[in-house]
Amino acid sequence: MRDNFMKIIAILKYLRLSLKRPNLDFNSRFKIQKIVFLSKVLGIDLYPIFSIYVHGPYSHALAIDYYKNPELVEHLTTDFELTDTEKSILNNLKEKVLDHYLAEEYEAELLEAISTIIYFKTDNPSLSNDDIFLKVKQLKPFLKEWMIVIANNISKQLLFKSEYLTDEIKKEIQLWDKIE
Amino acid sequence: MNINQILENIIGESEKINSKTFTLTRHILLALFSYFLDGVQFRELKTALKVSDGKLASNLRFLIKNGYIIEDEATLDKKKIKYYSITPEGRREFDKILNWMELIRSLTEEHKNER
Repeated sequence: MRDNFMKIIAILKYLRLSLKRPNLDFNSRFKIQKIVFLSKVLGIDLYPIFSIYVHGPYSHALAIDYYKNPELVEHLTTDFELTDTEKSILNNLKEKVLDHYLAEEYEAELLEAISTIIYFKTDNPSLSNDDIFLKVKQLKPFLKEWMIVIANNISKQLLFKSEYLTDEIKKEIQLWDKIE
Repeated sequence: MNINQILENIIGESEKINSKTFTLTRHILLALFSYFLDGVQFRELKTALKVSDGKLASNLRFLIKNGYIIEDEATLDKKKIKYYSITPEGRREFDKILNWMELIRSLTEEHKNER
């Protein structure tokens, strides 16, 4: 088991995910892969390296670790302490994805769409919305079109950093607020 | 290993492989299943391999029948999906193929050394 597998358990615990033994439950494996990917890409330092094609985002190393330690995942056994910055990243993930109104009925599809879009966006930040839509549709034609559009908007919110708010942009936002 | 031993092994080891597994589609399927421990959904395989439902289903049936993979069902967002995972027997068969290909590679390496 890699050193920071316990950090992954701490992430799942902090998000209060209800998981079954991953070696026996497809849904739990699916959720862990997508959430660990999103946690990593949003700034938490984690070891898994993710591929995108066929069944991605997916990490083989992560899969090996939860197959070897299914009881740790099921009971979320860890005393690993996440930092305040890491907790803040997870709060953002929870608010924008796990607590999204669509997650109640379409949690798996939402996680799959958002994680796939974010993989492409971070791999090539110059991709347009149309490029992203086409790439996702080609790779995962079973995802609904409206889901890809909504997931793309959520992805933008997740990837937005406060330093993007320059004085110039703040002034413009204030102007628009006054118009309202 | 000298060139004669390599040649002898290539012939000998080939007899241990289930030749019916040695088609491009079945070989790719075993490679994917050995990497994706979580299992791969039918719809993901269909998109990745760009094959018809019928061709994919018949190849999967062959691998299931020979005990190399298993079919399971899960419910994602209240929808039933089928997914497939490799068995220990499938992993052994895939390793046999890889080892055999490694012998062929060593033969070509020997050939390079002669030049």
